[in-house]
Amino acid sequence: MAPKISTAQRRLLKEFQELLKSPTDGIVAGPITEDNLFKWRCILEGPPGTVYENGVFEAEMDFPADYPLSPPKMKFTSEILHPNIYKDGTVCISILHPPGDDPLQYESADERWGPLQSVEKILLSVCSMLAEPNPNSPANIDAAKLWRENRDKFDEIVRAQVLKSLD
Amino acid sequence: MVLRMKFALYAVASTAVAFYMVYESLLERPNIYSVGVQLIQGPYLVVIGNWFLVMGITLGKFLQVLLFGELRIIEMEHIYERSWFAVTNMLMTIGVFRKENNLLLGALVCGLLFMKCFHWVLEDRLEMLIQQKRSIFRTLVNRNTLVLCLFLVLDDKIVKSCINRSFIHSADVFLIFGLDFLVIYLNVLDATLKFVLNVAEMAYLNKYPEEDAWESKIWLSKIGSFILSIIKSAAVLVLFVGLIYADRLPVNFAGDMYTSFTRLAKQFGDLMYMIKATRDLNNNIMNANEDDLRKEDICIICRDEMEIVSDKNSRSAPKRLNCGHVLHHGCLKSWLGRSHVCPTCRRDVFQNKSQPSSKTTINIPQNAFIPPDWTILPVTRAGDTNYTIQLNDTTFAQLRTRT
Repeated sequence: MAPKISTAQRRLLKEFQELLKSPTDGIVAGPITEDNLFKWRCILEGPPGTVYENGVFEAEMDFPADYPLSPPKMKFTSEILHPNIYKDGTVCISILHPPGDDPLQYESADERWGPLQSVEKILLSVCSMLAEPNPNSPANIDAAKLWRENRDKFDEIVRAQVLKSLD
Repeated sequence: MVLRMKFALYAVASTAVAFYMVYESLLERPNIYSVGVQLIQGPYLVVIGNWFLVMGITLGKFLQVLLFGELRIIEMEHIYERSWFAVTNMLMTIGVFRKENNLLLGALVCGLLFMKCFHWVLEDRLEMLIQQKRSIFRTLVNRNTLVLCLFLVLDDKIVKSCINRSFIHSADVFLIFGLDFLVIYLNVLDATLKFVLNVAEMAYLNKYPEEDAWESKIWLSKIGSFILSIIKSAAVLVLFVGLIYADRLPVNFAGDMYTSFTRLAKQFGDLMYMIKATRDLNNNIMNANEDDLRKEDICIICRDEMEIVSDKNSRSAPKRLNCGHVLHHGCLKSWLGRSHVCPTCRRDVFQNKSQPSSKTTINIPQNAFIPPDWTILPVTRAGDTNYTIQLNDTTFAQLRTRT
């Protein structure tokens, strides 16, 4: 059975070609294998001027069958300490949440997922999240506490992870 | 792994202690009956109860490995998250009964808790099967679907027998647990419905390779979920009213009732919106002309180019929304299944062009500098000393003049 190319696959292919044609600094992303467009590997450079500077962090993206109507999931495979990244690496950021998921309207609709967003925009948002953590909605409570109360220790752990990410 | 070892050690120790106690009591007491009496008292009860708990967890773990194999992280998380709530709720339910048989109650509580956990895992598994995007045959024939069939039959039998018993023996305990079982049965039916529809969509797309979506799916799934929600809400309502009649205060079911009715209301609203949207889509939303396409020729949803086609109802026909943004007809339809706003500017798709979708109000501080030509902006008087200035389509500023 030869599977037909769906809207999601077509769009993912388009985004991949776009990323190849005009690459953005500090971001590399693409499907892990040729036969599955729904799983991508991304490589992010730690934003300069932050503790994550010089780090090369790997992440995986999982796209749903109804992409771009639903957002993908993103998970760091490199170790990374950050208030908005779960201990298992899953990224918690408003751009990855569909509107309507948030009954308290804590995040405004503009920052949320919509078909207007793209892989590139997600990765750019994640980079700016690395530069400026949002301590108000922490995913990793321990990291948020450390970040707030003992920044030196936090920076020390992150720097060790940056060194590890370069191996 | 360490946790597993610790638990195994604990289980062995518990078993040893329990057996020793039974053995000792057999030596000490004259007959089996008096052994039984001793075992359900004081420290003996704690040891025996602990042993039953350990055995229960072991049995649950064994069944889990048998039915589902290794659990994924998300499934573990769901179980941890939801079981707190389920256990609290169940403890409150037990509080409702005063004179029922404790053993029967214990068995029902444990059974319900196990069934709940297994159903949560099963629902996650059905979603996983669809997400894996394998062939129809492999999606339909595997361990998870086998377990699904088993559970559907089992749920049906449990619910029927509970309801039967509650009417024959007029035992409230079976009515309450029967309805609890009915709720998990309905939840798994909902998940099954979505699974079947997804598989049907795969089959449809294989049969008609030129189509890119099966439009009836979203309708069938919304209507099906709505019907199941009606049954669920009715069941919870019956339970609630019944308990009040029986002079009991069903505090713990108030939450259930609230969630099921708000869900029902939301689903009803969604369904009504979809009916309206489909009607408006055909009557109100205009086809894009060449001018529109010159401004915007990439569909924001699929990122494909749009061009004028002769068949105005085909999925690839470009449609212009009231806010001026252009999309493929098909992409717009799939998007409206989940949201009512334009994917680009987030204005309501069916709202009139002149009305802004949302008002943002900024309060200007008293000492703010106001440029002399501020009256070029549209100003409305909102009170004796209050003015509202329209800064752009959606932003409004409040101004208070000083006296």
